[in-house]
Amino acid sequence: MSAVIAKQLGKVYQRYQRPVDSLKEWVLRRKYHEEFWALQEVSFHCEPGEVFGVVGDNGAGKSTLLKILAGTLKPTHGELIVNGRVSAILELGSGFHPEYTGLENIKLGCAMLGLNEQQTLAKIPEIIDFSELGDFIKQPVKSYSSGMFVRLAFAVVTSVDPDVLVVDEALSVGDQHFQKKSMDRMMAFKDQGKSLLFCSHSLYHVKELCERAIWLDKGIVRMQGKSSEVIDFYNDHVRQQNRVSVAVSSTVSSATIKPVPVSEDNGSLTAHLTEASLLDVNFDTHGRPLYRTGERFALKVLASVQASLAIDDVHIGIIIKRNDGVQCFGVSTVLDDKVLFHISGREFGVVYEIPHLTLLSGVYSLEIWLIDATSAHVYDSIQSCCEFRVSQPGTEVGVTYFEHSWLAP
Amino acid sequence: MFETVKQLAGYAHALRLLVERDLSSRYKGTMFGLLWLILQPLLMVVVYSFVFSVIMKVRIPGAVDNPYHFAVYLMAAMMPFMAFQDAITAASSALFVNAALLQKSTIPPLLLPLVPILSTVVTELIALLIIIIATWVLLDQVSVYLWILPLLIVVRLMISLGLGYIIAILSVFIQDLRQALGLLLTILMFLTPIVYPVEMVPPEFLGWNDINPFYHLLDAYRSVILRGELPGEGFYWVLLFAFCLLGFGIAFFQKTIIRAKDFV
Repeated sequence: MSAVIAKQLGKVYQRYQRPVDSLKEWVLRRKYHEEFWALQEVSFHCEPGEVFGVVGDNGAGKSTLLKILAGTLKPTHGELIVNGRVSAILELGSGFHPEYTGLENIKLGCAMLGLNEQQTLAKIPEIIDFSELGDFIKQPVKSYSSGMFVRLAFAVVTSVDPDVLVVDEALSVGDQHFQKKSMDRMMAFKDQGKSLLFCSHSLYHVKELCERAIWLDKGIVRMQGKSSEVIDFYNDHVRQQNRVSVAVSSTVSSATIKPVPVSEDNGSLTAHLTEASLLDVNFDTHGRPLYRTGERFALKVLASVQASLAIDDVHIGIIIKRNDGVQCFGVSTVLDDKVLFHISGREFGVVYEIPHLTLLSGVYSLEIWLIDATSAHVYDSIQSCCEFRVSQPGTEVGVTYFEHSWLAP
Repeated sequence: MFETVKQLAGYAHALRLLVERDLSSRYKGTMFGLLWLILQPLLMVVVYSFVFSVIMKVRIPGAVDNPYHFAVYLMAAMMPFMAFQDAITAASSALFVNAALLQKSTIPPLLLPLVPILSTVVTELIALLIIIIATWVLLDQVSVYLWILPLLIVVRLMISLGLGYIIAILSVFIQDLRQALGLLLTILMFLTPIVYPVEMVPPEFLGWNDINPFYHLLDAYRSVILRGELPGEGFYWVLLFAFCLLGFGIAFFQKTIIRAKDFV
């Protein structure tokens, strides 16, 4: 039996010019609002003992979804089935009354979650202890710092022994010590066969904690599946948005450039790139070249060179860029002191091979330069071509995998 | 309505906590604390007795000839009406004050106006007790129908709740209502024979009195406490009014709270 089943959940918000319009609409049965879909056709399920992640940009509908899961918001469409007691931390302070003291909020929180007086009294010492609030427990929570707030909220919602725990963003507010403590507690929950629905901007956490994840984009499910895959794709999307806007002169998504018609040899000192193609590649489901970290990477680059040019004055430079514009590695035949190989006629070329591609998960593309021996003159260049994906087996973070070892000190 | 009550029963414990808290918070930081619950009505009885009985020497024609009669007569209707006034005023801000709970917790919204309105029952009970003692001490009377008082309190509560639920919602949508509410309640107080006996009302206005449920309800309080009589026939009208108002209030609140939620 699934702990949580969401069937085509949808939430429409009505936007009114003035509050009273909403009332008028109810009385007069005439439309006074503009509709705004915060969530549309969201379906998923979460099994007992599973940690389920929710990622997405701001305004993608994450909070709306979690509020629906927590029961504070009713979906306008679809159905939500939850088996067991749900306990939730939504945003900051979820359901705390700012004027009440910490202790009063604990009592109220426990009562709301269905605990009776004896059960509540039994839990209080544990909650105060876990929250580490000490004497502050007798102060109104409006005087709390955000860290104290979240400590108390987390202590309450996890102490009532929920079957499903919904955690929004909140945890990032606590200090390192508390984050560790809360993470341990969440893991303990998971081990007890309870379900966790988890939303965080810390993609690392989502990737580490969750088996499966859902990526929401403007209220709809952009992707759903194994969390590492979802996060990789989401990361690409984030980088894409953050990219330093590089002048994209010619984006060539296919691996081959159309050969430039070679003009008559008029004695000018010119050269053109004619082909750049990835060799021996696999493709992902989207038809995009896909490499696993550590695999061989090979690129063939061909150029047409006017006879009047000396071949040792034509060189190729290749830069691997991630889709946020970060240059991961760039090198040229000038730097390595190599010359191009003669193919046929005026065509010259080279195969650029990386025996073990150590890049980590991401979307990358190539920048190819045709330059002279001084590296100063550019005959031709392509700013972005041969886009490819890399997928890593592990959950290491960063751009590239370094050979390393852990030694006894 | 039955469904609603059943749903609320699950929150009885939470409700008790909230009412206790509501009462204690009102007197938080004061020197006398909860003692104010007794001090307030007690001081009012003393002041009213002094002003109306010692200084103004007001007498109601045809009533018991006792200098303190008018003071007690006034209080017996004034105290329940003040409880009603408090209830409506508290209900008008209940959704705003508890916005955090309303939007971010699973608390049934019906509880939010219910809590401060239930608190007024406690203050009313204490006030009535003091009036009963005053009647006994000052007028040397103890009514045999005091056991009916709980019923009157329940009816007063039902009317407060019915209207309170409507006001709670309307205050969200109509900002001016909270400003006008105090004035409207004062007008209602003077349109109802509370500070003056019904005998002083000119005959051409008696028709309004006949349909004014507050007159019949408050008169029932006077009958039961002061006159030692059962409430008059008008009380059936009050009962009907209370049931209808409460039913309508709850239905209206439940229908519109989803809309109101977004604007507090």
